[in-house]
Amino acid sequence: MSKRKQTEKKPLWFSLDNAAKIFPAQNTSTWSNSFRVQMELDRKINPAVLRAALEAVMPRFPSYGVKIRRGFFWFYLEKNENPLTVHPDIKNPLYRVNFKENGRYLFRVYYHGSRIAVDCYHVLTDGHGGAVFLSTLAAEYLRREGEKIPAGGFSLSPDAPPTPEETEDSFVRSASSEVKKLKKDGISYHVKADPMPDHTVNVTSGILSFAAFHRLTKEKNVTVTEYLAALMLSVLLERQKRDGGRKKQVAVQIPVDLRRVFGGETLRNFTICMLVKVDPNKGEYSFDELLELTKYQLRLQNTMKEHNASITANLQIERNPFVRFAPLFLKNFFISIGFAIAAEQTSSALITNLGKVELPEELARHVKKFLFMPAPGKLNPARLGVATVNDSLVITFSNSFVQSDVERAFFTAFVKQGLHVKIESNRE
Amino acid sequence: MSYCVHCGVELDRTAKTCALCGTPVLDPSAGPPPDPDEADRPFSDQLLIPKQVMKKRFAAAVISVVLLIPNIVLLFVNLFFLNRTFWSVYVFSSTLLCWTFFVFPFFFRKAKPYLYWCLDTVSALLYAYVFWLMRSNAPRTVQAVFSVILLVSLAALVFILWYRRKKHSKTGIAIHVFADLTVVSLLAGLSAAQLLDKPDFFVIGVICSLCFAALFVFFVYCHKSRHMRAYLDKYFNV
Repeated sequence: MSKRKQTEKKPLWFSLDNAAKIFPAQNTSTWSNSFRVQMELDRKINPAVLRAALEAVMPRFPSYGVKIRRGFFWFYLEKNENPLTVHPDIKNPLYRVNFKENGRYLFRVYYHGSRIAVDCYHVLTDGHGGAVFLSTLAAEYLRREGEKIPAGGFSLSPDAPPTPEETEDSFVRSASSEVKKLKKDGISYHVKADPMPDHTVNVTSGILSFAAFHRLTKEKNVTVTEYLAALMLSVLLERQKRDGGRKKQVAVQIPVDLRRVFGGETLRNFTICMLVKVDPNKGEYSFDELLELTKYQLRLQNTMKEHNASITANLQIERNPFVRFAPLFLKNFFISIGFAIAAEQTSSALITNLGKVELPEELARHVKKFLFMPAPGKLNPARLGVATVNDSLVITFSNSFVQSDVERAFFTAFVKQGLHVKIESNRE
Repeated sequence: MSYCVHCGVELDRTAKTCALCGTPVLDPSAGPPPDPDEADRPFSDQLLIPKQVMKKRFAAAVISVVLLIPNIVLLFVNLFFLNRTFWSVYVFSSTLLCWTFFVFPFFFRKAKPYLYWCLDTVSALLYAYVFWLMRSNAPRTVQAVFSVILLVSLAALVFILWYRRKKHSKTGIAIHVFADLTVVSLLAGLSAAQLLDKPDFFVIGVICSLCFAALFVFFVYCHKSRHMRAYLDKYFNV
């Protein structure tokens, strides 16, 4: 306890982790790199209890109770002591983050019916950290409702002091490769559609039985992510063929949780993106061929040595004296220009799979669904988050375009395989 | 529990249409479904459009003040220190021209193209007039500049009238712009050559006009040819 008091007294500040450093510069008045985690419980949410639970868990997450400040060379995070608030949910989640709104916190907590949702700015953490935060918050909420919920899995104990490992920049700890590999990816195909108005997004979730889906992937001898990526490639290849014209590569971007590769307990960003590419100029691909191709491409990339080379190269950019000692406004200018030109050019879709959200049995029985949703893309209608809790696998598209034909082709492919799919959406 | 007859997916019980294909949910045996409780819906119905961080009009006002300050300082310096010629009028007229072109439009919520066109033409003519007043030994040059400004202004008016008629593709806009520029550069070269008695200007006008005409032909080809569009899409992502 004394350790915790010491931590609270200290004026806290954090430097941004290696992955987070570019996110503030990417921020525009209409778009921010953020994500949503949402949990559906078995009871209606009481906002007053939720707020009290939020206040109780915040000391456990010192790197989340922060505001972002501009330094001369870099942005940094400083302890935020403004009051916390919870909001009724909205139809357009993940609207842009403004550093001076919401009590200067970089996450927003929402409630709606029996659902608790957290919209989290990517500067703070990645999907894993967001899921841990939401699970801890939901467990504390249920405790305050009279349930006995132990800590375990993604749900941390709010009374335990935060460990230094949880707030570390794991990129720095893990980068040790002598080879620095910067990825060079070509320009990919993008589905052309009508954009939605600013600050709005179409969210479509497909809920499947994890057991049934897992059986399907086992039959094909692939993982859930590999199957979903191959299916997305197949949908986009078909769509490109229908569009006509010259064919471009179709690529699916897949973030990978580096905690599973390097270990560690960090609650900040620790992911890196892999890319699965198919060149349609080489001929037609059957779905089984796409599955094989995806499987081998991903397994070749998803090794400790490959990731180490990539994160070492990323870290080397940050440590370059020209970058390091360039004033922040200059860095922001070049990052924003680069992002405006090259954003999403290399990928046609994004699939981010949170995996199975491990919860203690006492908490899991109160949880009906867990939804994970990345920020909508500027060029891609297909950006989907996947999360599994109990037997419920939820695939969520966040689409900033009006048309829903990619979602339709994707979900009806499961129906054709004999799987039951339930659709929930914020569309009218 | 309802299913979409086209997609085969189960729909949320509060859904009025299939989110994937838009097919309406109908139950012929029942009357119109009662409006479900907001909390039962999977997503809220409340749309929150965030406030604009920096209002355009505020930004325009700040820029106006920032532009005004050096002008006042220079006027003061001109009147009391370096007062051999009235040179600060050049600075002031240049600032006014830039302000009319780039800052003034931000004072309006909705674009007012005819007002902008009118003011831009007047300010450009005034700018030329200032030079004529200050250097009255070259009236024919000013006449040539006036004629070029009026030609460009006329072309801009034609473009605005055409653009506001219906929605146009980017290539369509480029075609129209280059067609306008082809004609304007030819006429401007001709009028400058006539007024200044310098045939070189006509040659320059013709060269510019040919360049714009080449771009015009290129964009027309891009617009018409499916292969060219696909090529540009593949290699330049346009």
